[in-house]
Amino acid sequence: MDLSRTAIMEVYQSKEDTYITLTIDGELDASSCVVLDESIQQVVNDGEKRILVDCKQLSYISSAGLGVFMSYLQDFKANDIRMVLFNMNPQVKEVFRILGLDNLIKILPTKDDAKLLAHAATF
Amino acid sequence: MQLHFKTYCDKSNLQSVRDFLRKSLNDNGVSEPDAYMTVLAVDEICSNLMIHSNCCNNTMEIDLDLAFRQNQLQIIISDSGISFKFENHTDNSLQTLVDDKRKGGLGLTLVKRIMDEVSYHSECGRNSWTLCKKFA
Repeated sequence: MDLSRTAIMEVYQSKEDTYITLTIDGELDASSCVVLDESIQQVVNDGEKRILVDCKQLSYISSAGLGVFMSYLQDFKANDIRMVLFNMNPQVKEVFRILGLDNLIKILPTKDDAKLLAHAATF
Repeated sequence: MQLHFKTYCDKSNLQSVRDFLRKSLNDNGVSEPDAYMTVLAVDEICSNLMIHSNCCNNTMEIDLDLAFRQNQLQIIISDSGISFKFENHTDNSLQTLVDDKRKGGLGLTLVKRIMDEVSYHSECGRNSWTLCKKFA
């Protein structure tokens, strides 16, 4: 076991016609959360209104990662920006649930579900 | 069984803390869901110590001591940084954190909800967190 490696987490962007998908790959902690923060800030600055976040490869999240999502909720509400997370593994979802963040952040099983909600009449 | 791990106050070391814990918990038969949450609780304490108690000074040390006794795990996390007034800590309202656009303020609440017991002691410049968890 290599105990010397540093935290690795990457965020990939994929632009579609009416939305953008951010794919998180790795472990989201106090060290790596800045990468996600910068990615979200960038797509917001680019004017994106529908942001889907693919969490399939998100293997771990700490409160620092939760805090990144949490810090945008107010601005998203004010600016009618919709963010939907999907493909989340049960352990990561449990962390959202413990703090009640699953009531404030939309988390859906599949990308199709997330797309539907992001484009629905009501959010 | 008792295990020890030492790390330094650089956030990039959190991954090695988690790797050490995962291996230790797995070697001692802790289930994956229990291990996941225990790792998270220790990660939260170590992050706080690195950032707030030691200002990310990578010469400052954090010691982890794990003691497995039957179905119970005790983890002591100690450092020599700035002490913390644990008795003054109250859980932040989630809505207040959202309204204030805060990125922090959830870590210790998470620790208290995950672990069965959480205590803190500071004496003669040495601070220690004690976390206990019983496993089924």
